[in-house]
Amino acid sequence: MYSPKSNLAFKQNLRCTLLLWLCVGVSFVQNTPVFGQQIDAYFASQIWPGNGPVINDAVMIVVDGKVTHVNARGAVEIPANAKRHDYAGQAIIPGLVVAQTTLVESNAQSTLAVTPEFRAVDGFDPFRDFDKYLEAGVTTVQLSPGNSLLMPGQGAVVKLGGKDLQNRVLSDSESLRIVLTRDAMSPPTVYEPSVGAVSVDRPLEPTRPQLATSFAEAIVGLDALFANARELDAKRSDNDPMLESLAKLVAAKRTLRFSVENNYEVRAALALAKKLDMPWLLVDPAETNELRGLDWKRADAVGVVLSPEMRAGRLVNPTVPVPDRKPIADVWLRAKALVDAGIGNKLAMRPPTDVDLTDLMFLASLFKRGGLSTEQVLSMITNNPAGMLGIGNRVGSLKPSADADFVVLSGKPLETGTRVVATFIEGRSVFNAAADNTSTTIEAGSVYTPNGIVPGGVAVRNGKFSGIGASLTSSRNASIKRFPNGVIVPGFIDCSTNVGLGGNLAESLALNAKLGDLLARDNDQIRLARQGGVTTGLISSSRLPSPVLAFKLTDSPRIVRDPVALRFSVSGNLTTAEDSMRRMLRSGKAYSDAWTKYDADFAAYEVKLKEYEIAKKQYDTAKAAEAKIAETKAAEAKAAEAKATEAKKQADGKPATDAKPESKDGTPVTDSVNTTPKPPETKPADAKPTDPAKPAETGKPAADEPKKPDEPKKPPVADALEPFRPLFSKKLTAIVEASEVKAIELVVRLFRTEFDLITAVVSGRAAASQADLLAKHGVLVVTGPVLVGEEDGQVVNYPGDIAAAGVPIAFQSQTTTGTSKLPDVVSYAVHLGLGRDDALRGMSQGPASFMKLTGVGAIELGKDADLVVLSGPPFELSSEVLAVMIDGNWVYEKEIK
Amino acid sequence: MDHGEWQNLRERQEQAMIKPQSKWFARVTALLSLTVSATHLVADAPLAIQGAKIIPVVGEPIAIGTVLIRDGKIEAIGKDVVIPGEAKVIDGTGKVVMPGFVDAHNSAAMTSANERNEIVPFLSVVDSIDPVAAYFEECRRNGITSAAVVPGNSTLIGGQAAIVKTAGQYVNDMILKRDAGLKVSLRPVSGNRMSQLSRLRKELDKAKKAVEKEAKGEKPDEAAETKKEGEETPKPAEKPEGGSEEKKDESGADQQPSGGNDAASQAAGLEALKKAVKGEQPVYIYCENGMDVTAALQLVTEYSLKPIFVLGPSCYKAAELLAKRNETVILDASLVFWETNPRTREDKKVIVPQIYRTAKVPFVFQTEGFGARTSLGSSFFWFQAATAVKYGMPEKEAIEAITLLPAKRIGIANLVGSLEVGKDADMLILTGEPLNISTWVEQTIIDGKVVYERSKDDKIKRLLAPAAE
Repeated sequence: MYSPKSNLAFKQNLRCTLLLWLCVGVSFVQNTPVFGQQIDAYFASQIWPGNGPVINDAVMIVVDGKVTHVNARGAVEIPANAKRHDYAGQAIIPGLVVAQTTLVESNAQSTLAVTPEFRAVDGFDPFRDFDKYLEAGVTTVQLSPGNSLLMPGQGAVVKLGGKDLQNRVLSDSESLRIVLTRDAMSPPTVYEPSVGAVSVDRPLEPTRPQLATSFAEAIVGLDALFANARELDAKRSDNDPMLESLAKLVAAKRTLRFSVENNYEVRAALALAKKLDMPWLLVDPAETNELRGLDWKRADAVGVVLSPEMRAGRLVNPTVPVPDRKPIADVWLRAKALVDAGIGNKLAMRPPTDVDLTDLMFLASLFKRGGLSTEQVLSMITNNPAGMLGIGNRVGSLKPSADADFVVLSGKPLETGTRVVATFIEGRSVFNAAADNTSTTIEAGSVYTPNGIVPGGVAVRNGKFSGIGASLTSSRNASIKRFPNGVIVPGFIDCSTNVGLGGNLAESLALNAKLGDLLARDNDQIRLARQGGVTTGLISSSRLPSPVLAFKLTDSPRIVRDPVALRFSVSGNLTTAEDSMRRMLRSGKAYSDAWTKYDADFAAYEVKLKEYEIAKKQYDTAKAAEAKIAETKAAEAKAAEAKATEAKKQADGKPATDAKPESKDGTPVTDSVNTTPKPPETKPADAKPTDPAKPAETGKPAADEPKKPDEPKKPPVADALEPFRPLFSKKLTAIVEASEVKAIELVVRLFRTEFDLITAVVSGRAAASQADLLAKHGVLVVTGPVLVGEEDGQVVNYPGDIAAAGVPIAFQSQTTTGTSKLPDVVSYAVHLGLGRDDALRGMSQGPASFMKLTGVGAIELGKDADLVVLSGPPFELSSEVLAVMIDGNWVYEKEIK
Repeated sequence: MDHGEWQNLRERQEQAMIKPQSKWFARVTALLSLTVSATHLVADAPLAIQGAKIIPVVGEPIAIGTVLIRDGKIEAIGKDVVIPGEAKVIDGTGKVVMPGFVDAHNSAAMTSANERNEIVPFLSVVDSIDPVAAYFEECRRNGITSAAVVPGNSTLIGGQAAIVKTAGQYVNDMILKRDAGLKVSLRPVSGNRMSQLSRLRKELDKAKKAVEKEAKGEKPDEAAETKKEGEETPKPAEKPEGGSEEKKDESGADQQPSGGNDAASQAAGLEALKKAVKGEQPVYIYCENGMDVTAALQLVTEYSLKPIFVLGPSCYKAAELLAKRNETVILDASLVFWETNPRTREDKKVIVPQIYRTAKVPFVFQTEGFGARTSLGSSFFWFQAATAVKYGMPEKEAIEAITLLPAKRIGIANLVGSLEVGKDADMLILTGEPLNISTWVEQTIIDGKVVYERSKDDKIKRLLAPAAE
């Protein structure tokens, strides 16, 4: 009984020991610089470091949560053990820093107007769910202890996420907030302490007036407060804690954070700061005249924080300007004016309310109206506020030794439609947009559609194309992939590949064999084969005839059609070959015809059967009506008879005694109503055949009961011949290998003329010389794997020559992993003169429509999202495959070097 | 010894009546109870519990053993303990003997707890303990033999806790430890956490300063003296009207009006705080939620306090932070509850004991809490341990969490918490295995005296009696 426990204990022990060893190992390893460290390399199309110009095609190296390098890709040597993260087509910016928020406990605010001893950090709940801000890219915020009282307390700076809770507080006393705007001029004018039990330790406190009911009072009061604080004797133990903390803040030269609006408030704030010789920060000045001539290089000028008078997606009512006062300039113009006045990196932006933190970047883009560059505006929500909050060495910019707090954006920052893809704090992911697998938006340079080349990209939803072109609507969670200048072509079709079955299949198969059962899952050959862009492959046995299967080259191969065609071969002695082939086709045709006839007969039978059923019903109702008439007649007759007997009995003097024995004959429970109809029921049944007079009475002709039609006889089922039925009904294609000229003629004669089948020939040289014949008979030609040959010293480009005659073409590789090289082989044919469009059609739409693979082969709305992203035009050797998608899922993406 | 006390003693004696083991014993008992002196003799006679399964908590359970009690202490425990002839014997066949439960945090023992005055470090719960309170009766009925009576969570600095036995005629008889710790609650009753913490810091700063002064060799009284000076000579009058008014008033509020009693209580309060700041006395810190835990940890390092964490239900979020301290915490009574994510509206079941166990934070239970106003009273205590067992806590650990672990946490493990030779004879005789729903406390023994017997529990009888027609 105890053995499992002790076993567990042993295991735990073992685990502990292992852990211990691991720890020892790690600590040992950390001494050596390279191993044991967590090194991550983040590649992105753009990195905006926050404190400098954008770096295109850049990489950022993060070691143990700190940035070590940010540079262009080529300029940084990437450590071999670095984990690579590719954000191709995306941009990285520093985690956003907000210069002022009130994300503190929202319990009742203090009613005291002056509380410098209050610390916002005490109201910060690190366990609160800040996910929505992290999802908006906000990683660091200033906390303000209150908004509407004169001196609400000391601010703090915290990170909104991160592993170590205690390290999330970057500053527990960042500034002393002083509100000089009208908000603070209406405190509860008289402070009324709550009335509770009065006791020795808690005497009834007197009510008292508070600061400040007017601006002048506020200024004078503040002056006095600071004066008292300065005079305070720190050694005494009975000091007012309020003054004591104020004195400490003055001594520490804490930043004074003034909320101001008008010129006179700005003036007063600056004067107070100057008098106290303390650094100052202005929040939301609506009038900036007073700030024009300032020397922004001075250390005591910490900066200015502006917020837009706008809320994301909501209407606000602008105030009507007072007639004789200069209207307040728009915030973007104020920002521009300050930048022009040389404010440099001392200008920050904050959202108007905490609610709008989720749309910080959207609102920030408003500042671009004034003519500020993306870089400048971005630094107003990253580098600048970080510097103003005194934490510029840790956050706000991506520079060596800074915390790896950064945001991955779907595109350029501060542009419409750009979304946050992921947020990192100290190198750890704190938000990752749940990439919606069902929707993908691919932005590229151009798209090859059946209607020509269209600029833009495609949108994919639920594995199908849902949009094509330059302006795509994508769902909110759609994963976005960008391939600037990429060319999107449909996924290629290989008309004969050996991949998918785990090797070459050379068995002779019955034509009804299901190749789909043989497909290999998670096959490495498939993974390699699709890297060239082939998304759909056809397979068959090399021993012909054989059924042909069409499948997608996904990890677990998806069957498109099984079978899609039958593959034959015409070779060797053509005289005997023709004979045997004709015999086979004839028997197939005969079988097919028998079934076709049966099908036709059966259809006719069904029609007849229906007619019969109707007739039968009519007959039955007629019969029932007759029976009823007969019944009533019989009943009448019986009644008459009964009357007669009763009369007779009455005459005999024995009344009604007969009734009882009668009922005893029947079941005792049933009443007379049920027993009476019994005799008439039998009567008409008897009457019908015997009594010829009755039908005549109804007046209906022909008592003939309608005859049930005979069901046609099913022909015998021959499994091996079954596939000929869809073949002859033109649902399947006959693919015929014919390498000689005569063989081609034979194929045309036999398959097209005699049996009228959808026919494709697999041929190279012979088809090229018989191109006109094939064109006349509408035969598709599959070429490959050899596309180019030599004849009479001349290079012959088979697909080129065939296509030139107007014959539809397709390609096959007949290899396994070589399938990935098929497009390269086709490029050679293109190089030798095959038209690019013909080549592309031959690799996609041509065989797809010829073989009725309706879901694939073209980039059209509603078709399967099989596509190849190329770095340039298709069938250029210089073009590289960047990515391959099958059914809406990426199956190959080029690795970054 | 006046008449009343005598009467009490007698009652107590009767309460402690023991089923005679044999006829001879019955006769002896009857004989002895005839005279007063004999009664005294019987009170001091050793007591033996024989034939029961013994769970001593420390060490392996004894399948059938004997516990011998003399003079209120455990004299012997084991399989083959020789029972002296004069001992009273309780037949424990088929029963289970285990140490009495220890409640590490409780405010229900106070008849009128202070819920109004926020900063009263000088108060002591002793003044509010009523020995005949229903709480104690419940305790004895449900096996709690020691309890830390701690000021409630509704005041900032609530005063001094005391540890008591749950049976006794007078408070002084019950007390195990007076001034067992200072209670601090971080849950703001009025205002917000910023003001709560600033007020707390103000008090702690005062104490810290005083301690520092003492350390420098200055007279501790100096503070009081300067205070008087300050009052006599008001602050310079050069202050302008607006701000000074407020300032003066506020400082006035801090300086208590003079008067003998006030100064005394102020001094007592300061002394209590000083003890806390010096680390001489533990501080019960009540944390309502996770952010309070971070604040508490900050305070602990800032003022080098010796904390006993009393945690609200949602403190589980800070379990990992608490794990670093490796201290036993006191959990709220609501151990399992549902929480709704405010954004996704998804409900999540929170199993508190599981979370702390995963984080490797040792914990004990209590019957009070924010989310558990229950009519089950102290019987809930037992239920707590059973709940933890339901969610994966080994039974042995759960039993320890209501006996030895809380005793250790509040510093009385040398006296109670386990059945060991020399410890106080506080134990329970259960009808079956502990933590079993059908198990009853048959008898409760405190300091060697039977203080509860189910067979004489009128209330239980009436409760379980078939309803009258």
